[in-house]
Amino acid sequence: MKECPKIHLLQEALYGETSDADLARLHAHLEVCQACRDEWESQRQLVQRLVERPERTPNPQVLRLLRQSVLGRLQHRAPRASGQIFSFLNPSPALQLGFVVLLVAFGFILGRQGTSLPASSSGLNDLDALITASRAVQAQNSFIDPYLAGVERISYNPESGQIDIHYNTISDIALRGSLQDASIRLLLQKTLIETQNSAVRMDAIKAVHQIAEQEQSLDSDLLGTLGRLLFEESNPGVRLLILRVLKTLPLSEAVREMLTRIVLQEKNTALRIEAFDILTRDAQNNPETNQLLQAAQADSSSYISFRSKQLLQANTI
Amino acid sequence: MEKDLNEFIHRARNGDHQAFAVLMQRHEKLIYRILENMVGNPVDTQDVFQETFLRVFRRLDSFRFQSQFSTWVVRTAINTAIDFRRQKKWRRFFRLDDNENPYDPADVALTSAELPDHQAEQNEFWRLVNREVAKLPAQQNAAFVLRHYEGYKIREIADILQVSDGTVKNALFRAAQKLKKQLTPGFASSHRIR
Repeated sequence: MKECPKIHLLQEALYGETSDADLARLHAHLEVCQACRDEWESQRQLVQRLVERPERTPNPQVLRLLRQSVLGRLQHRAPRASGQIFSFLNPSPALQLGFVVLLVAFGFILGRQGTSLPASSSGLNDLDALITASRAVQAQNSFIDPYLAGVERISYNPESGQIDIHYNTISDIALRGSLQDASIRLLLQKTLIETQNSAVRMDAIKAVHQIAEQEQSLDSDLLGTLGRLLFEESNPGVRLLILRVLKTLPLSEAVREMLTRIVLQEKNTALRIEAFDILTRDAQNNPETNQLLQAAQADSSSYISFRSKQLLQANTI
Repeated sequence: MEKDLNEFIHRARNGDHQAFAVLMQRHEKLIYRILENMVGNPVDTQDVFQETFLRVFRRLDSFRFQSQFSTWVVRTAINTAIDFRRQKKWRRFFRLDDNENPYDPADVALTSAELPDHQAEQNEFWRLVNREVAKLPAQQNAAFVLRHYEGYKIREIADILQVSDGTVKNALFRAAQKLKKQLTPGFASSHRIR
């Protein structure tokens, strides 16, 4: 449908500074033009509605991490004036275009190769540098300058014990290694802290689960990260998975503390039950758990309440 | 205050990273919010955010103190976001990037399931608005975010985008037309609720 030639009056009135005379002209026009009247009403409604939009405040912790990451990258690169590298190309646009086409073709071929790096290859010892893309790494016969750094996918093969972590850089690098590799563990830990995609975080927790099952323990950094995630994570599925990891570990003081907090403070019943079951798996004849059982008798979950009473009774006998 | 800021800019130009950290701290919330609404998803937002401040640092020499520093930083952020969007479009064209939808549907479903009906519906509505705003053409998207979310004046937006006032008004008008078209069902139902 052809637009009304006086539509500019609406634009001015909605977004510009309109004089009284212009406003009078607009209202006179709206009297006779149905299309403009509808447009005017709906745009005004939309603009009014947008005022009610809930304000989104960036997470200060995320901002702090990003600031640190930027400063870290600056440490590795000297400041450079814009366009300095390509200044020799400035005289000829045709040459610039040719160069760009060549780069695109080269990048396309390189990207299609599906580069996969062994975790132990040179240049990867300082994994932090790789993840924050602060310096180039050597992969096969080419140098790669990672640009983006979100972890996209994690796959673990229990038969081979190999784990692949794919994270999005310009060249789609995958880091391959075993669960015993320190760099793999560091990357898993960073995934747990930094990755927004809950499916990827779940994969990272599953990999940590494998480590916990194989070694019956977790280093304090990984355990601390899991603990933090257990209380800060919004996805209950992810939190349940963390509890399953804790289930495979011996009940150390740190693990016991996390689980007790869940039993006493958590609103989600499924999570409370899971934590309660882990804590009380050896509760019989264990006076250490009596205090918890006494508190848990008043739990709103009939299972926890009944089981607490049952165990307390057994302990007193 | 401005003198103070200029001092930090000069120090950062001479390679003082701590001074640059202060400049970042002063602008990071604003830049993050703008980028979040231009780029769409948090992972990409964080990448573009980092690239923005790296560019700001590298190009500090080209800042002439003729406009406000924040205007210059916002302009750099918007240009970086536009570059990123363009790059992403090409990556999708060559099928190097399959992630067409910047929002995680599972995330939406989960959040909605945990909220009361009315709140969940409101939540869904604003998510839809955010998604549609992120899909707008670059100039309309930038103008819309600066005007409606950050409260910039038309003149300031024109200065940031380096276009005329008329172009900004037109971009805002076209953006609102597109959004209205995309949001009509949700928009209507959310009005009924109230």
